[in-house]
Amino acid sequence: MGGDRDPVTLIRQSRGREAGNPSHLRRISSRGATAAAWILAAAVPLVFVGVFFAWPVASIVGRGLFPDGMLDVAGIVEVLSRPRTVRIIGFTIGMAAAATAITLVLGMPVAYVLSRLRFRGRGVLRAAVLVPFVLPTVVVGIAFRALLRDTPLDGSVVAILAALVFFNVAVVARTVAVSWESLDPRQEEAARVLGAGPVRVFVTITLRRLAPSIAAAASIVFLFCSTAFGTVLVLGGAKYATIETEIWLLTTQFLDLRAASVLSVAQIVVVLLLLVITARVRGRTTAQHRSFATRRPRRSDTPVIAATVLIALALAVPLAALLERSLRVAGEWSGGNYLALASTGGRNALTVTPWQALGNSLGFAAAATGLAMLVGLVACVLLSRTPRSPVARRGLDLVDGALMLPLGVSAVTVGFGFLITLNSPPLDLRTSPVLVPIAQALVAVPLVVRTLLPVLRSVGSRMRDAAATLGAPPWRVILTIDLGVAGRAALAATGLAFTVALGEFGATTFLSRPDAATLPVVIYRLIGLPGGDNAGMAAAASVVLAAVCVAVVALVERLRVDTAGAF
Amino acid sequence: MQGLSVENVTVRFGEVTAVDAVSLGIPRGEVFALLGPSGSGKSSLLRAIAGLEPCTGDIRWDDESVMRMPPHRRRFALMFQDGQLFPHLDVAGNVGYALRVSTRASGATRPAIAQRVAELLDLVGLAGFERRRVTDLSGGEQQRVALARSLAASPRLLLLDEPLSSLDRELRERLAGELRDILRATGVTAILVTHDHDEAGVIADRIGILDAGRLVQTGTLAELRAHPVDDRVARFLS
Repeated sequence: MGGDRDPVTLIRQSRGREAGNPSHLRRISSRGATAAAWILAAAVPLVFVGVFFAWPVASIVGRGLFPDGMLDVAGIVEVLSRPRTVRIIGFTIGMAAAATAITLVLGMPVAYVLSRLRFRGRGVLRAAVLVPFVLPTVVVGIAFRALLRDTPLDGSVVAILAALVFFNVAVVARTVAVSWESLDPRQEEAARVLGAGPVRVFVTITLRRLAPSIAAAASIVFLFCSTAFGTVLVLGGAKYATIETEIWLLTTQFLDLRAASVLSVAQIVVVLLLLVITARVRGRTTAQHRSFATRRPRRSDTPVIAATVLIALALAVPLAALLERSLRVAGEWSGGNYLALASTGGRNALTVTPWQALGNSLGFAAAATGLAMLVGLVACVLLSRTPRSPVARRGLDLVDGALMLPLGVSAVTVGFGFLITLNSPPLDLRTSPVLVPIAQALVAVPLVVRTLLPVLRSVGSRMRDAAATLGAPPWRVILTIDLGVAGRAALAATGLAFTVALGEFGATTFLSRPDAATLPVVIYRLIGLPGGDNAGMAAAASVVLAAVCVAVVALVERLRVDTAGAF
Repeated sequence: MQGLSVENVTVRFGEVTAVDAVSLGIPRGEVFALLGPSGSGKSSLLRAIAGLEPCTGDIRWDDESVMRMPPHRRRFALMFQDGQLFPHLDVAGNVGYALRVSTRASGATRPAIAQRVAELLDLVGLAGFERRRVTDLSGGEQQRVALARSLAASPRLLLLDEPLSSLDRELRERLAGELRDILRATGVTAILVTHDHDEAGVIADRIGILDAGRLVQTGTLAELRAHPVDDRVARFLS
């Protein structure tokens, strides 16, 4: 081992001499190459978000607000003062606020049980709570219609609220559980010893310390609720419209681009405000959190456990109703709806069979997942660095924010924006099937980033330093250390991205062509057509789609990565 | 000069001067200890030598400047106080890391790497630990793995940043002797950063005392004790 007598070293020295390459020149160029590589890496997510998000959205907004190159103030005022607009904005905010409040109340006991107690079936409960979150929005809508069929609640505000809560309980339960796990229970014990009762301890100590994660969960749930599209479209029908469904109606049915743009801008403003608040509250989270020992349930835990069991059962009810509906034809038990999935529906409602649509969906989702992972991984490696220069740090914050935008901006706006911007040179993709996976990837990227980034940030810069002094060039440090540590999280993110792409409806509904329709689009088309057979087929197709999503979630859960803690 | 020469090296963090115009020479095969109280700039100097901290002045190896070399080309392995083991790799994965990633080592075959890892683990007293998870090891074992991992890189210079200070005293004293024997056996040139003069005396051939970023005196522990340059050094060594 005597230093330079090492054979490898001798080989290297002789190679260096042969090349006759003045070493300092090579090193200067390698430093420049490193900087260039980082800039190129930053370009990947920025170009993707720029071309496939900012440009389409900006041009929609531009067409609506600047019809003749000038800001059309009178037009904006006219749209905003329409009674219908006022009612829709009010309804959207009110409903999202109510759904968020209910979700918080229901999510807290589940968070407590998941973070503090140890019992058999904890892993199953964790996974079960996550299931609704990954179900496609259209499937959730159909499930609630199946549940409430022939009751006064069908098509009511209550149905929409219930569906939104169903969807988001997982976000609260799992986000809050992650920070609840890292609260030191001894502080609560100290307060008890000082004479505070259990309720007082919960309010003055526990709630106060959980406040940041509750606020973060609340803002993300509000975001999801206020931009929900598929669920509201299926359940609200013509009666109840939110900003998102109204944008869809205005662009596709009335071709009123101006009104649609004004609503898009209103939505973007709300979403931006929310994202800023969320970022403030969340700070730079890393995956390094302490986890205190869980304990066996005590008698005093009974109410919380009972509540959790009830909530878990309640989450299962709509899915059971969906399953039951799919197995009935004209009121009788039958597998006919599943057999019909090989057909194009009653009165040939469809261009492709639901099985073919599932094939399309899987193909598109796979492509979208690949794209989302590529963009997300590059972005995360970049965002996990803390550069010395303040300018570079501010640049990174910018990239961070830009990547979160697609989370909240109307998918409908994005989809429609694609149609009007990407249909002429230099980029004519309208006739190409790549638009669907690109739009789906755009929706999945924020989720990938929020899952991977905390894990990558937990890799300290000193660990990378250690690897570098062991002889690893920067790119090998990324491959062997960053991606090595984040490997499991990357697999989990891949699974989540896949389910998101599979269920994406808002943008896909604009972009998928009838002969290459995805399953959610086909399901929506089926319920829009009269005839009991078509509704039964929609239920059967929803069960199939839900089964695929549940299978993916089961795989993700086996990896034991804190996925929902990422929001 | 054969070995390391540090000339007039200064490290600044904004307004603060952590290392102030330090010059020193370490011939090949010598183990040199940088001794000083916390905050004296020892670790900053070590990181500057490794190429992890920007500095002014000149750092040379065998009369060739390494100032423009990125850390991974310098072949100066740095062992951290807390080991910085890679949590996603097992013991063999950590120790063999340098053999797999370094461009110098390209062409090393799997059996060759496995054999080298086994030799190194044997050297640090952890024979047979290859498949163990690094997170399951005790503090002392983790530092042994970190040492083996640094030696695997066949560094021209081994930089040890308080390698024993995270351990309890008894273990620290025992490992100090072992560390000295391992460094002697491999003949590697090394710089040890420590605030413990007994540890420096046991492990190093020569000691340099750093105070407020300046190198105030160098010599063997006996020389320093016999002729301290000022009261501060005398008090620090007592």
